[in-house]
Amino acid sequence: MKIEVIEHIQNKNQDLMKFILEGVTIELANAFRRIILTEVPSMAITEVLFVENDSVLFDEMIAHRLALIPLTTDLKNYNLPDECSCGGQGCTLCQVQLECDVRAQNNEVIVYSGDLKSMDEKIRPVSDNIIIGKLGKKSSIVFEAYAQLGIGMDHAKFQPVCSVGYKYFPDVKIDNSKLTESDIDEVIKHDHTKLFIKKDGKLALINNYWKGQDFTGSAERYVPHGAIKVDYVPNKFIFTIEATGALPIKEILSKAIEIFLEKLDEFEDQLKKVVITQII
Amino acid sequence: MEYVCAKCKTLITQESLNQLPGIKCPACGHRILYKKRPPVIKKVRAI
Repeated sequence: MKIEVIEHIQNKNQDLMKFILEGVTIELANAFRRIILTEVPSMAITEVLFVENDSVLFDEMIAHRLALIPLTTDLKNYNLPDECSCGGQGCTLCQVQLECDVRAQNNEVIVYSGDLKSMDEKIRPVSDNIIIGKLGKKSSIVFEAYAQLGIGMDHAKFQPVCSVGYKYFPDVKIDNSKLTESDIDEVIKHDHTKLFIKKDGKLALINNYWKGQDFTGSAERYVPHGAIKVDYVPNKFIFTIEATGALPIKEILSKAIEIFLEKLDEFEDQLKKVVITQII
Repeated sequence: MEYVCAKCKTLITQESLNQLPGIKCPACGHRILYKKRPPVIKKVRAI
C-alpha cells in the first residue's frame, strides 16, 4: 500500500485532503471510506436543559440545531459513553457541559455558536459564526447543553467528515493516428479545464491531468470513435476527505486504521471459534 | 399556573382566576388569556 498526499488545504474555511491510494483493492478503499464515515467518533451535543426560552423556536428545534454544531474533539481524554467507567450515566470522562445565557434588551439579538461557553477549553464549537436562533426585544434564552462522543452510525451529527469518497485513477489513451488537425483544435477549444495541449501537432495531456475535473471523459464526443479512450487503473484511487473541523484529517485517518485493525482481530477470533466448533 | 391577559397584559394567578365564574381577566374582563411558560427546567434530547 502506498499513500501520496497531493493536496492538503487547512484554513479556517476549509479542511480538505486529497491523496492517492495505490496497491489496494477497491474493497479495502471502501472499508476505509465506511469506517471514516460511520465509526470514527467525534463530539456532539446530545442533551439540552432549557431554563428559559422566549425565542420563537421551540426547545426541540433549538436542541436539534445545537446538535448539528461541530465541536472540536479530544479523543485522548474522553471515552465513548458506552465504554466509560460510569456506565453511560455521564461523568467528566465522557461528558462536557456547555452553557449559554443570552438576554436581549431593547434590540433584537442573534444567538451564535460563539455564545456557547464550554467547561473544557479543548471542546468548543469549530466556528463561532453558526446561527442558533434569533431573539426578539426583552426576550432571553438560557440553557445548559451536554456534549458526548458518538459514532456516525448512531447519528450523522457525530460524523467527523462532511464528505469522503474515492474515484479510480483515470488512464487516458490518445490515438493520434485517428485525429485530424481540426479534431485537435475542437478538443482544445472545448477544454475549459485546460487538460489538453497541442504538442508537435499531436494531442497530448498535461502532466497532472488527473488533478483536474473529469473533462477527459466528455472529450470523447468531439473526436472520431476510439481516438480518446478513458480507462481506469485498477488498484489505484484518488481519495478525497473533507473534514468538519472536529478532528484533524491525519487523526481521522489514524483512528480509522486503528478501528480497522481492531475489526480484523475480532474477525480472526470469530473465525477461529467457528473453525474449532466445526472440527469438534 | 400563571396566565397573561391578551388585552391588558396583567399577570393572572390561579386564585384570582377562580374568583370569577368562567375564564375572564379579573382586571378588564377580557376572555383571551395566554398561558405562561412554567418556571421548570426542561430536558430535551438533541436529535
